[in-house]
Amino acid sequence: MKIKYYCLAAIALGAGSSLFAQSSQHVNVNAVVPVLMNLTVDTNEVSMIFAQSDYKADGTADKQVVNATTFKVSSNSRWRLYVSSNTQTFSFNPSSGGQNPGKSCGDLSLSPNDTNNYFSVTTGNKDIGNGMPGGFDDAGHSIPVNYKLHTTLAGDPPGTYVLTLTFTLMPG
Amino acid sequence: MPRPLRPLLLALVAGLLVTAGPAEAQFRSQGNNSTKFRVDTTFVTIIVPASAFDRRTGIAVVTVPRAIMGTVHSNRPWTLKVRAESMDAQNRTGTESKPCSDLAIRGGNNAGFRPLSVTSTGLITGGKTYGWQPVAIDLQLTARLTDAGSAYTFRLQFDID
Repeated sequence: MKIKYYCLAAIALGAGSSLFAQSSQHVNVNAVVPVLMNLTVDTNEVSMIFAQSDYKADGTADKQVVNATTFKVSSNSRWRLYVSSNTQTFSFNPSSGGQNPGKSCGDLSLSPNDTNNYFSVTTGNKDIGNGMPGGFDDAGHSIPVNYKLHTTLAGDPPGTYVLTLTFTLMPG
Repeated sequence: MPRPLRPLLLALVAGLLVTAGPAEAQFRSQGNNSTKFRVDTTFVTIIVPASAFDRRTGIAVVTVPRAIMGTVHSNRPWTLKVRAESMDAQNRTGTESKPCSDLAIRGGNNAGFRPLSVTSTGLITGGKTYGWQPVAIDLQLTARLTDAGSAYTFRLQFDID
């Protein structure tokens, strides 16, 4: 009888090591996701050509181009979109002589998302949109912008006026 | 030697011989099941390049073939199972997380990737091996623009039956 017990003990010891053979194995997978902020625009040029009929009796005219540009944002952080003018005044190329009137950048107004809430452009950043993380197709990540330019017969001689705007996407 | 002690000593020697042998030898000599899995890769880094993101959908999918290598030794049919140790993969500070299902996995020659879950699921099956048989495991990470820029750690647990 004793012999049986010893044999059983020996077999049990041998079988016990199979428990260790079944132990779990572990792997760590480290996924590195970069900080992403991406801004695109469908066109880099907006033109407004004034006709005589655009002027009112007081000699002023406002020309509007609806949804002239559309900005798209993809970002994996909250974001804000700003706009500013690169210069205080438009550059001027006269068509029939005349001095540069120094047309102010404030004569150009913008309205995001077709809200008709125009604000004048300055050389300081102005907020035109913000949003949550997401891609172009997510709601609020596509921002159409309206442009409106004010001109006067008295102040603006005929010619071509050019103003460069900078749109900046920043973490918000 | 007194006659009653002789069988007892023989039994003890036999017992020592059985317990002193390597694990694989024990299972064979006893006819027991022996199934083992060893990972050769214990740490995998997947870097998501900015260019991988679809700017429309905000989704990036990065596939890493043979990301995890291991070996199986078995004297019977076996199933390698995998599970995520937690529902979410967190970044180092624990301030950001991704669901474990954003990491998908497949056994080397299998067709489709399966998202990870905390429930252990079969990954690869096989028959009796002759020595240690290599196994390759592919990983596929889905990153979204809703994931903050950070490093997320998924902890995987493998078990073999």
